[in-house]
Amino acid sequence: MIRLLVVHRGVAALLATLALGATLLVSGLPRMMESALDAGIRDAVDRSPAQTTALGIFATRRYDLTPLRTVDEVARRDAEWRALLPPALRAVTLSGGFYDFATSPMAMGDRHHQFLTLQWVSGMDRRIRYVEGAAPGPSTGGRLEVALPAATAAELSIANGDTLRVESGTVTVTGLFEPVRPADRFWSIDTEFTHVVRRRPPLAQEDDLIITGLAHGDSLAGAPLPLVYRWFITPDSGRLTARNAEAALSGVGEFGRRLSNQDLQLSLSTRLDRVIGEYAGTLATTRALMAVVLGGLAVVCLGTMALAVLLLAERMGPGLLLMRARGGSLPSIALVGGGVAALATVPAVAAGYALSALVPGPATLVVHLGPPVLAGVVVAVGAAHVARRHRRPLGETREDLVAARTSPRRVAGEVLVVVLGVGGVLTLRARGLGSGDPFLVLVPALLAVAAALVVRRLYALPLRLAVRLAARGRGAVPYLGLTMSARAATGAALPVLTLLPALAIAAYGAATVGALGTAQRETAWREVGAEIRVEREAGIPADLVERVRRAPGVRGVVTASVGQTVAEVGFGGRPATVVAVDLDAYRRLVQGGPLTIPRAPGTGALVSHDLSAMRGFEIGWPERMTVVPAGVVGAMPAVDLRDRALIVIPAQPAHTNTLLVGADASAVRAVRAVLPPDARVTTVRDRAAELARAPLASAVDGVLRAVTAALAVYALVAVAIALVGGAPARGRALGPLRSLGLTTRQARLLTMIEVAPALLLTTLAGLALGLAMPALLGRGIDLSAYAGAGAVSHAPGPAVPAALAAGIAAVALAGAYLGGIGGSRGQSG
Amino acid sequence: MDSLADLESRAGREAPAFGARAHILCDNLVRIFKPEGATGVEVVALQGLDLLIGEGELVAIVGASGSGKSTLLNVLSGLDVPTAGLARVAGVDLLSMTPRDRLRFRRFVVGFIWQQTARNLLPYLTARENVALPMRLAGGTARRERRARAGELLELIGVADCADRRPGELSGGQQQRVAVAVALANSPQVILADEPTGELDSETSDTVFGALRHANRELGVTTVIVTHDPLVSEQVDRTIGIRDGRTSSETVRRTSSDGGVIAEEYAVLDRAGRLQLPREFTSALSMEHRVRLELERDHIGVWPDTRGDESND
Repeated sequence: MIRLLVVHRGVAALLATLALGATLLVSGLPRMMESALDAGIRDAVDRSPAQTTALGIFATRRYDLTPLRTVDEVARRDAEWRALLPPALRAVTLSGGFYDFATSPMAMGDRHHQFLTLQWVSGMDRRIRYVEGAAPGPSTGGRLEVALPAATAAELSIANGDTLRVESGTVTVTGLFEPVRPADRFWSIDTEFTHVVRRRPPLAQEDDLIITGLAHGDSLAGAPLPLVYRWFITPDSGRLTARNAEAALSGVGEFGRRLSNQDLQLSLSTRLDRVIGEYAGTLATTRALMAVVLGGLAVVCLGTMALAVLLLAERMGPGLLLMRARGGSLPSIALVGGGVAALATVPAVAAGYALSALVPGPATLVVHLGPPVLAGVVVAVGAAHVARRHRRPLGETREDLVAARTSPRRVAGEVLVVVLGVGGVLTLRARGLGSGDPFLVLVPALLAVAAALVVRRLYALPLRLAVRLAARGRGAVPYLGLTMSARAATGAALPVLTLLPALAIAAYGAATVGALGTAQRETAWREVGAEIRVEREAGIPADLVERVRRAPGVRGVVTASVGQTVAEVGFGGRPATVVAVDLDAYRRLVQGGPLTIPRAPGTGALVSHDLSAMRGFEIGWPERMTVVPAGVVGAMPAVDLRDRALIVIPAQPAHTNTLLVGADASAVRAVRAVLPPDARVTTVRDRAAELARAPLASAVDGVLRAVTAALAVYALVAVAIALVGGAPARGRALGPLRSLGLTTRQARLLTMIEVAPALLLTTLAGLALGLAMPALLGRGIDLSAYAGAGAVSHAPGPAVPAALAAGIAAVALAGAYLGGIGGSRGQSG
Repeated sequence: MDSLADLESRAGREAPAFGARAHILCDNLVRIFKPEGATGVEVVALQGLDLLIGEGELVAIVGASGSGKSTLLNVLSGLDVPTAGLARVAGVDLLSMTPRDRLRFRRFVVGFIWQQTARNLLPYLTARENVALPMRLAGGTARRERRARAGELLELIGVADCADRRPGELSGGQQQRVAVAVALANSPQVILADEPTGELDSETSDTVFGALRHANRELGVTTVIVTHDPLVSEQVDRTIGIRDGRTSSETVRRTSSDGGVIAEEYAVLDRAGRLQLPREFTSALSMEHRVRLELERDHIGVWPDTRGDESND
């Protein structure tokens, strides 16, 4: 077998290279994708405020002092709650959390609108250092001691040693502290210590200022005050992966249920379930998308490798025929055929598998199972083909036999594949790809194979017409070429079956990459509002606006005022975002871009739907005024609503804090140069780049690009193998023509014309299917998860996929022209 | 005149079956090629062929291209299966063989040589390894034994000096002689050669034919050679002509008392009484459609159908 392999080392090397590439793709891409998915969930958890992703267990003690009167008791409860964590959730949480208890904000009697919250937090002594005074001690005579953060105390002009009067008595400030490590995640969970909290009660004219002080634990727990106890269990984002996310999510629910069965009245507060839930949606989409492209890739890789192994089997044919005729049994011949294929494939697959381990990322089942399946299929195809070919010892067929018609069994098989493909698409549209049904995951690849079968059957029809037209023409070459093509019409199925799915999935991948890029750009536009957005809390004076307007590269500037207010409706009011901008000027500024700016009403303002029923209401910002709704607006570019109402005042603002700048990319530097340092500059380009850099989006983009490129390469290799495989027969056909005076150029042209109809038709069908796939898959794959909040439409032109398909077809035709007659030279020479 | 008793006793005696003692027997052999799996135009390659070859005979089969010679040889070598009729080689019925029997038949009963020199040998094995290959495929022979046997055969055929060379390093004649050794590897009872000298010049052909004749004489192997080469067909004991899928003529050679070779050509009368008249005979006498037969005391006369011509006129 080794000698046989050495004799056919060219084809064997090709097969080995294909196997190596396929294994790298099949094993490496899922690793890469899984690692990106893991980074995705880490990113999702880390990006969310730590306060919201921690599992916060809340208990409220009113004036009855029965439970939780000492720090020890609170600590014991912490251990109890942790014991209730379901294993899946415990696996992704940090063992050390913290717990605290606090009073509600208490008005400081002698300080107007100032409140003090007394709090005790576990492990606080190692997180702070005292810049003045010392830690609070036990209460003496009902007077509590408190330490305050140096920054907030300074802001409210409280000094160490001061005595503060609060509702329930007096507290003495015994020390001022600052965080040891301000970057510690703790400070983003227990934020109350870090700053003065400002809160505006409804209809009030002034903010309430709330500071939090650190009290002595047992003294505070034993004080006759209503307290809120909190135990925080923090997730360890490093241990959250795509594979345990679902289990962690259900663990959160289960944990909540277990807590509700305790003797204390507990509530679980967390957004971790929401964060993981949103991620799980993206995860399902990503997995579905990856299944489609990797499934397609696997089909194409297998098809191309099958072509290579068939070529190898053909090359081995005479030798095997001789062995069979000399008394080789069928199993031994199949063993030789499969063995040679195995010798070429298995080491390459093993090398590919080993190399894929270098790709960072966890190994899933596909990573381990893919390579042996690939190798197994290739070896089985090799052995089966050899066995079928040499079932009878006499391999020759008589040339005077009329070509066999397709057997009913084969027709039934093809009809079954087509029916399964169409039925699968209908089911997929109804159920979506997220269901995880393996049949549905295979549907796109099945559809591509079904389309290839249909194309293969139907393509003879237009070809016959072409042959008739060519027969009337003068040149013999087109007629001969088309006739040869028509004779081969029902022949080689595998190249079409490989090429069409390759083109379809490559076109789909290219279209998806394009659509993702467009969607990310649109989202960036929606979020930024113009090519460049300048914000400055202190306001932007007119001369600064003028300087920006005159900066090189700036096309135009629209001034705007964006701020928060409370729409005074109902009892509590409704938080709202106010945008004051000249809508017509803004529309002119972003003309030609993807943004749609609402038209300005004659009088009044545009408001979001929830305020539209009001006849008019008051707002306090940017100035006290009455808003009269004159139209409904859903959203405005550059405004992040976050559950707030929207009010758009269609007029140039008196007080400008935002500039929307129309400019080319080079203007950013010039604009920055004229702005003071406290102005914030955001650009569409930066935001789009940021969206594209997000772990999931960039990984999906990378994988799609890699798969598209790999499919293009494998498609070309498939065509090349088909050409090389057909060369001897073509050589036999061209030989007599060459002796009749066919020039080399004509022979090349003839070969190209012979190959062209099948190639072009397959390319067109593959391209059409690839472009139709988003519509066919329907809501099966929703890409909006990768584009921020923006919806993704695949509508953007098919230019890139078409260029890709045209490129493949052109290279293949050029290959046919230049190398397709290799086999004829020997014959005619 | 036979008495009734004589006739009765003759009827009671078991008559020897047709070709009972023949080493190769074909009786009304038919081979039809059908396109696989569906309807289509069939090609009838053998149309009721009869053939008898005795053990140890050296026979040549000649015929025009497409007459069915190669099909016959493929059938006899167990590479192809006849559609109908009877074919028996060395006592093995070729129509009722199981695949296992067929494999055994190809391994141990027949040896085969093709016309194309390159097709007979695996290019990446040496001559000795090629000869050993059938023994390896058949199994049951030790490596040393195989090596020794291969050496012996190459010696017998006269190419022992080429034992360690690969086919690419051998001349066409040497390759074909090695192919003869390969065919003899498992000590078959019959050797079938399909135009073994077709690609060779006359001198080289002679050596290859010599090798075949040597194997026939020395080892007593029944040898059937399909050939166009008069050098071959004129040196065998019997030359059988095939036309349109039937045996049509036989030339038998015998040595006369003066040492010269006398060749006598016969038409073949098959079991159904059919006779093929040479085309040049029939066209010389404008015989078409039908002829008139007249039974004479010691022969049958065949006459053109003159009455038919008159009636046509």
